Amino acid sequence: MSTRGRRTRQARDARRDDIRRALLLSIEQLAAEGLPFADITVDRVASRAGISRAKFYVYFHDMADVLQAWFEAVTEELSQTTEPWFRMAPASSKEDLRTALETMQAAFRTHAVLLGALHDTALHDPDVRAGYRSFIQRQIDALTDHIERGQRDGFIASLPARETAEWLAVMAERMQREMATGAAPEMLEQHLDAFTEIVWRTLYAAR
Amino acid sequence: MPSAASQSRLTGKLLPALQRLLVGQATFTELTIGHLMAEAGMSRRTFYVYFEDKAAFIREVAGLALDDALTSCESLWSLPGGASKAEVRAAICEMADGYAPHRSLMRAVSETATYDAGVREAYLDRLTYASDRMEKQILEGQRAGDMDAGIDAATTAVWLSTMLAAGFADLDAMADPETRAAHLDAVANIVWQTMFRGPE
Repeated sequence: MSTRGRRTRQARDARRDDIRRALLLSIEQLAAEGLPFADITVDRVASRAGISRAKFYVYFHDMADVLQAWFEAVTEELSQTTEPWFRMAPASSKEDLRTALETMQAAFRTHAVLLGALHDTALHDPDVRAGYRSFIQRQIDALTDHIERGQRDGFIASLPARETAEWLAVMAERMQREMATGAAPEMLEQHLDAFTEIVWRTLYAAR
Repeated sequence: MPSAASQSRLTGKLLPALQRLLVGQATFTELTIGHLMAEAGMSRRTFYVYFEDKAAFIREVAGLALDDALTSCESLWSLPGGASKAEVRAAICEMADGYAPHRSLMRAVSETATYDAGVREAYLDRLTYASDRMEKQILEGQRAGDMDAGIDAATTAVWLSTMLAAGFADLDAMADPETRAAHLDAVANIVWQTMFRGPE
């Protein structure tokens, strides 16, 4: 490709990113104003973002396309926030666990609106669904690895590693979605405490 | 005017059809009324005699199914602090057995709850009931000195109840006899370690 061709493509990609950012912000705003996800249409979002419907379709196929692009960008970030937990070592305390889970909770809360939109889109879009499930599966795999390593090193209890990881993941995912729409900010500390106790007692302080 | 009895007959045919169609990754949201009715051996038109749309159908049947699933939770909720791992597992097993026939419908409820206020209310109503029962159970256990005072009864009850409801509906492994046992072991353990193993 010529230098000019490459520059044109770069400029186009940058423009696409700008528009996507504006669209995502608009989705968050509309959701914050109480609009149900089903009503967050291309027309409404594009209008709020200050671009024409036609311009939207230059860069994106549909809303799922916007969300999917965002999701790919953010899954890396979200995966990193689960690492402090999965890197917990034999000498770690309950406080260490709580801190690790707090990081995770904060990150997921930051993206709660878009994660909710993604989850809803996944219900009717198989591609988005596959991407979302794949992300969840990667977290379950990482937690399973952590449990198995901990069992080998003697600081995690004898229990079915993969199945336990699946239950803890389904609990965390569902609670995260519920809290995004329901929980008052002052409840967050209590939720974090409850989550910490369940994980601590099950994995690290079991009898 | 369609009678309650004929609606009930229709529902009786629709639920098994739903069960057959909602396997693996298939979502209720993607399922068309035409497909559902074809699977049930009926015309699409018949659906609309009774229900305005899929959400209306779910609203109609969700309550009964949720209430039925809840009855099988009684054995868990009536366990005292200090209950053994085996006792907790048996109670969880009973819950799973009570839940199993409603699994497909519960997944449909879960999906529909994201965009239908009526279904969401029905679901949250029962989840709140389950959490409240568990909360009372923990408070009693803490008062009796059998359960660890270090956990917050209300919030812990919400987390565990949500885990059970979500897992029974969404974990495909629960529907497979081969993988079910290990999953019941795992969840019974989580519940026992959190609630029943007693104070430090």
